[in-house]
Amino acid sequence: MCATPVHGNMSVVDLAFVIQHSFSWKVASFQCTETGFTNFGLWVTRVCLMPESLTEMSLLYRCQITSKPTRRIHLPIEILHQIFQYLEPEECRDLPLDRLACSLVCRAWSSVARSFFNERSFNPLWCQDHFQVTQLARLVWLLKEAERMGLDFSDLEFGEINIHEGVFQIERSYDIAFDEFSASTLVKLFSQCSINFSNLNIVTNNILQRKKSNFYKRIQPFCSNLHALYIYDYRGGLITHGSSFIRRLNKNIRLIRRFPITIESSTTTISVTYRHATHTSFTEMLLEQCKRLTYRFCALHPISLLGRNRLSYFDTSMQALMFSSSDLEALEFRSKIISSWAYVSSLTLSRLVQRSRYLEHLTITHCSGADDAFLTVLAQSAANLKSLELIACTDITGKNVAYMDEKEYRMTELCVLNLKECDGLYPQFVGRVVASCEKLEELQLPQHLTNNDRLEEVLRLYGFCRKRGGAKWLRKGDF
Amino acid sequence: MTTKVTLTSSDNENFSVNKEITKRSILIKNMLEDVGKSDTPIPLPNVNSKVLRKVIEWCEYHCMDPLAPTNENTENQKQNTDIEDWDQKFIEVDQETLFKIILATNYLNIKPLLDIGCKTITNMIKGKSPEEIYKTFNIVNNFTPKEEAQIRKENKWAEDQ
Repeated sequence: MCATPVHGNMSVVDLAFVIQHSFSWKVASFQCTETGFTNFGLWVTRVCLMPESLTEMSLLYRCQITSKPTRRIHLPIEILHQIFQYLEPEECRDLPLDRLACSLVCRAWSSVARSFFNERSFNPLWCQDHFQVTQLARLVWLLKEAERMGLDFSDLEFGEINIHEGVFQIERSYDIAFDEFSASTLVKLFSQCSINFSNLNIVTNNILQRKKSNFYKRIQPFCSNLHALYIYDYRGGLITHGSSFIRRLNKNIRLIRRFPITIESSTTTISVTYRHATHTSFTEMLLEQCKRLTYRFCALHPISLLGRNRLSYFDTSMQALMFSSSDLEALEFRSKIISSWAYVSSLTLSRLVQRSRYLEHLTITHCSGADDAFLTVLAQSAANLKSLELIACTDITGKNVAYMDEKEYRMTELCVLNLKECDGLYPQFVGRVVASCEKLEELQLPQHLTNNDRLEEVLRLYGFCRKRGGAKWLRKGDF
Repeated sequence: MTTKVTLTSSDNENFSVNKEITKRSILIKNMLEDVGKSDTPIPLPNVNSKVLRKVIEWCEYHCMDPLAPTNENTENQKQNTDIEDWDQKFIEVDQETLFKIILATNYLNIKPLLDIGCKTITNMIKGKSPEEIYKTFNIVNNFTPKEEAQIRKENKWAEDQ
């Protein structure tokens, strides 16, 4: 009871009054220590109170009175500066929290402590082990304190946060999983600093999926300002439990990088690079967000395509692309060899080009799905196509297109045509395209057509010149 | 024969100290150079006898140390708040005295001792909440939101320069 702190510059008389009237204790003695404070007025540091009743003798309370000396020692600013200099965080990822605490002490301390803060002091934040979580918890607490005191800390620059959700790294010998404490700390942090976060890096390894989807649900309301999201998702966990999170992100998001897939976007165009892609649902959810789109499949690493869908993966992805509402501007499908794992059906390709009215660039390499049926559909629908590269598509003959009715043929805007290694190609197809496309400037023929005299004659007739005697033909206004 | 210098504290107590030892203090060193040969006591009106006694004790113990190099390597020492054992014992004084030692060494310009004092305070701050800090150092939290806004304004102005 007597341990109730007595605040302020209370005089001894006030103190006696409080003791007599509020509590039924008798003042047994005033023990006044630290007599060296004569210059500073009376500073009662310790008062011993004794209970009236002897039976309560055991309850001897000591009351620490924090009444202040009349004159305080102020440290000069240069000394404060030196003291705070020693409060430098030990490691570069540690936060200057002691300085932040100092900046909440009083005005003089605040201005000195704050002079140490710069744009890198709290940016980026790290949440990769338990030590960092406790730091973040302290940061949240200090920011709350600042808010409670009515202080404005909005000038502290936050920007990026790195979350390692899963089992933390063992670097600092803390091997603790991302738990409820970590999650709630981050949620608090997000709710406090959401205005300032623009980058979010998540490393995930797909443990405790259910709990985590809850975590993303909790931070969702505070992620409206995110411009970039980096996901290092080694097992595809976030796709299953964080998909709704990604789907609901701000439309202004400029960069989503999902290792190993990169999606970069400006305001209107998103380019998607698949290196060793594993998931289709991710594609779908992103397609909903973008209007104009460049789509690149780089099927270079067959080994990484594990799982149930591996044989039809690209086909499924392309179908997803087809059914999305996006206006595809460019499509690249590159694989190194024709094989079952990089399989895309002719039907899928045909439908895709049929629906993509704005398609301007199309690149397909080593794809068995690119056959005559597809080429026919392409010639009938790709009215805006400017560049067509069909490389090593050996199933193509182009027979149908060569004799296609003039009314049906619409692929007239071509500027670049590359037919390298299309070993089954009919020369008539090339003749037809050259005759229909006035803007065609660049033409690359497959090896077997390079010495075709009739084709050569036709090409020269349309003003093409062979480049350095090779398989490449060019046409410019001057020729 | 070692020459002695007399230092007079603010409460008029005289201390006769070995001249070499007093040169730990850049202030006194410069004074002695200015004055030349003179037996008049050096008055130190900012330091009382209790504190001066402590400071002299420190200087005597550390008289064999090489003179501190100039401020160049402070950058390296920025994070190191370790204090040697003897100094640690030496600085275990009440806070009042600690602050006065810091002020005195700042005045006398004895950098190594000032560092020890600052590091001690730094170690007292580490890991504490703002409330614990101002209780520890008996500081009045004089923030009001209005004042705070003003500080920020002033800082902004300073940053813009």
